[in-house]
Amino acid sequence: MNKLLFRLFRNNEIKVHELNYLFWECTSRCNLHCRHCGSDCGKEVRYQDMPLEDFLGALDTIPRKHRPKGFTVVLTGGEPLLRPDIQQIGRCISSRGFGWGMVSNGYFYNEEMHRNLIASGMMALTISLDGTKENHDWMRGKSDCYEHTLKAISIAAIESRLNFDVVTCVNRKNIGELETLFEILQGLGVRKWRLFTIIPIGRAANNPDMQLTDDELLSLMHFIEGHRKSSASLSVSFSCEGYLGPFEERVRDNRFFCHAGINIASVLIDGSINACPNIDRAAFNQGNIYQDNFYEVWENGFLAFRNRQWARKGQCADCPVWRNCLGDGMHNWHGNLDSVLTCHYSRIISAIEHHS
Amino acid sequence: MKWLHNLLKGCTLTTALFVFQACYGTPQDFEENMSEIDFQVVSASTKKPLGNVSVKRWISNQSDEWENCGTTDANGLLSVFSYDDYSSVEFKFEEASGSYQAKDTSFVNPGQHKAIPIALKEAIK
Repeated sequence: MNKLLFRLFRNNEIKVHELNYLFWECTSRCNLHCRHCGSDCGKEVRYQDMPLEDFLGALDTIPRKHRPKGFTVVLTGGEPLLRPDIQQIGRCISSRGFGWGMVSNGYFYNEEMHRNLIASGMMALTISLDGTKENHDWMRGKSDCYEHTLKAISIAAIESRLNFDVVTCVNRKNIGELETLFEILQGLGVRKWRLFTIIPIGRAANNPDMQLTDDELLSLMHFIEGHRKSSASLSVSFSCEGYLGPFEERVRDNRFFCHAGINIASVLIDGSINACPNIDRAAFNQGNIYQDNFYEVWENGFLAFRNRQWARKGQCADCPVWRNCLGDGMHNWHGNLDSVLTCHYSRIISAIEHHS
Repeated sequence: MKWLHNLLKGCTLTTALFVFQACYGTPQDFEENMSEIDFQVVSASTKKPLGNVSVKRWISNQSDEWENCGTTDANGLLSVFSYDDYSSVEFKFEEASGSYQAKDTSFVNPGQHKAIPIALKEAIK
């Protein structure tokens, strides 16, 4: 019954397709060189930072009546804190009535930066922590990254005006230290911790250590479920990256629903319009803010996101749970789109069967 | 069905359904503490609304340069959101064609203002 009602809700949301979550890839510059980076960012970049005025021009195409309460603009990159105008960006977004947040590696996030960003209206922040010192620094490609990240987390965790969470990319090297990370984050006063796996795109495609085995994915589900049952102050959840079959509602608050192109759009560094930034940029490009009216593209485009029947092929062709999954997360479709890159459901079922 | 969407979103029991977090994004649910200021820009001589007027602002102790808040619509209207703890804000109004003189105006505790009429004088030729 719950599944049926949720599908009705989801299908209605797909029809309504209310935009309420917008990524802006405001820079592709990054101070780190992460092994799993889906954007392949770094110090040498192909594109200059997008001027704020250009992004505001796109934002201003969204009619006032189509800016629902809670509309969130998320600054992403690259590392957004490398932009010298980050506070002005925040204030200009706020002045239009949008809430805004930022995804950061935390390296440059100190007390002064924190105060300035809160004063500029920042309401949400996500910082990545990918292991204890050795593994975090290995993943991030910088030897003093862990200390900076932990300092940033400790500052953000106690800010009452901020909706803050920590994310961890779980991989073969750090899956054994999740309990230690739990203790560290709880000790810092963090309230929310989100775990996700790494899809084989960008630099991660060439790093076999990045991909969990099916058994490790199952153990990750058990780890999250176990901590959700405890009464700890730190809430642990799995990201909404794919359909989890028997673990739906056991490892996160809501059932799987890929909102990409349904409620989520992005303005990428070159002005192109897409859904989430980690979705195949060539295959699912919807337009460009330098040629198109952004909101008209939202209203009239994104058809491949709103009707996913095209994805019923390859591994998904005869799938018994298609109605619940609709082809997993859209970021799992890359290249020639012959088949989904990874299927969370089949991997979990395979691991369960292996153990039974 | 927009009506069903609005009904479910407004219902306490189902509000949580609408709160999501993009895989690599930030949380979405937060408390907003902003006030909305409605400007209407008109011609000082004819009282007719002026569209395409650029509105910029300068926040005391925060801004490094004038910040773009948007442009007025055909009815001369623009809403600007402001945090309640901004102590003093200066706004600048500039009509695009140059037919009107720019105007600056300052507000203390801008969150207490709701609707503000702005009249621009014609440019001196």
